[in-house]
Amino acid sequence: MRALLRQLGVFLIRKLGSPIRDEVTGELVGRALMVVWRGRIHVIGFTGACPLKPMFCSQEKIHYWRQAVGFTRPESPDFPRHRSE
Amino acid sequence: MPSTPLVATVLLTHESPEAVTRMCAHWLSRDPDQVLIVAYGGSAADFARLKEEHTVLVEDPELRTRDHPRERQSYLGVFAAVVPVITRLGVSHVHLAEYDEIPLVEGLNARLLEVLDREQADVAGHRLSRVDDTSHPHFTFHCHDPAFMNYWRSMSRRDDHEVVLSMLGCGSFWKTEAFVAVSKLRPPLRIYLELMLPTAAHHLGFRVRPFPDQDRFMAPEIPKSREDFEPFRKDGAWRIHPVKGYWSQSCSNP
Repeated sequence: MRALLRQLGVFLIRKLGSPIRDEVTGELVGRALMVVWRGRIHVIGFTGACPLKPMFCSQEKIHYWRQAVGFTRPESPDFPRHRSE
Repeated sequence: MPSTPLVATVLLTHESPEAVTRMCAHWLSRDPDQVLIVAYGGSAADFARLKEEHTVLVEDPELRTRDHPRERQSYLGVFAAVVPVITRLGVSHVHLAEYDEIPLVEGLNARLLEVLDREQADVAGHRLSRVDDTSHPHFTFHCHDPAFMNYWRSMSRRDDHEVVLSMLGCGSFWKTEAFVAVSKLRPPLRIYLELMLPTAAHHLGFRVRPFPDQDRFMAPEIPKSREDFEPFRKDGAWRIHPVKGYWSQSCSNP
């Protein structure tokens, strides 16, 4: 039953969810329902595999009255070794 | 540390002794030069019936969870149980495998060693990603408790104490030095193994890198069966995961 509901939810989100693009690369990373509630953006049923990192989007013209929040993906970890040999 | 690498494959299982025997025979047939260590999470009675040379019983209740992320399943008990064996045997590298991970190619360890060497890494893992300040549910769940980030700040050797990594516990490949160092940690709160293992290694100063081309063959949310073995192998898979119940069934070699 739970799996069936999950499949139904995924189907609906694939049909009705907002496409989410990586703001840096422009790549489509998945879909999700975006609901604003009590000052928070709720990302529901994201269909992608990567974690999302929120960011304010750049704007071509200056708008004092509107800013947009988009998403990007974190970079793949590539930290050097940090130990005294 | 020996000049020729000696790899220990730690096989974490709770299955019957007969299934364990089948599993170990298959792993050894693929790579005869490795050491197998069975880390057993089943009953003490079944553990007593195991015939394999290197076995450890893991009684840590933090391993025996049902809803692993919500109960924050930990492998630190597995690490602590295994470390005396790998130290005694002089093992140079450790492959941490689960019972539902099945090798599809011969010479798997040579491939894993090559990745570690190419990446100049101390640890390599599947689905490795940086998850701090992201929507990753394990991160958002853990960081609700301030003790989580405070722990990394208190123990980190790095300049940036805020980095949190995630990777699958299954299929990770370690230099013994990193494996032993992580085994000594005793965090003040329970941390889910997918966050604990890579983040701890990172903050101890070890280099953690992904297996990017192999992730799709290890995705835990997609169950696999023996019918997938040949297509996956042709597609370049070294291992396949998860294949539940495979060793419990009477089976020919994959």
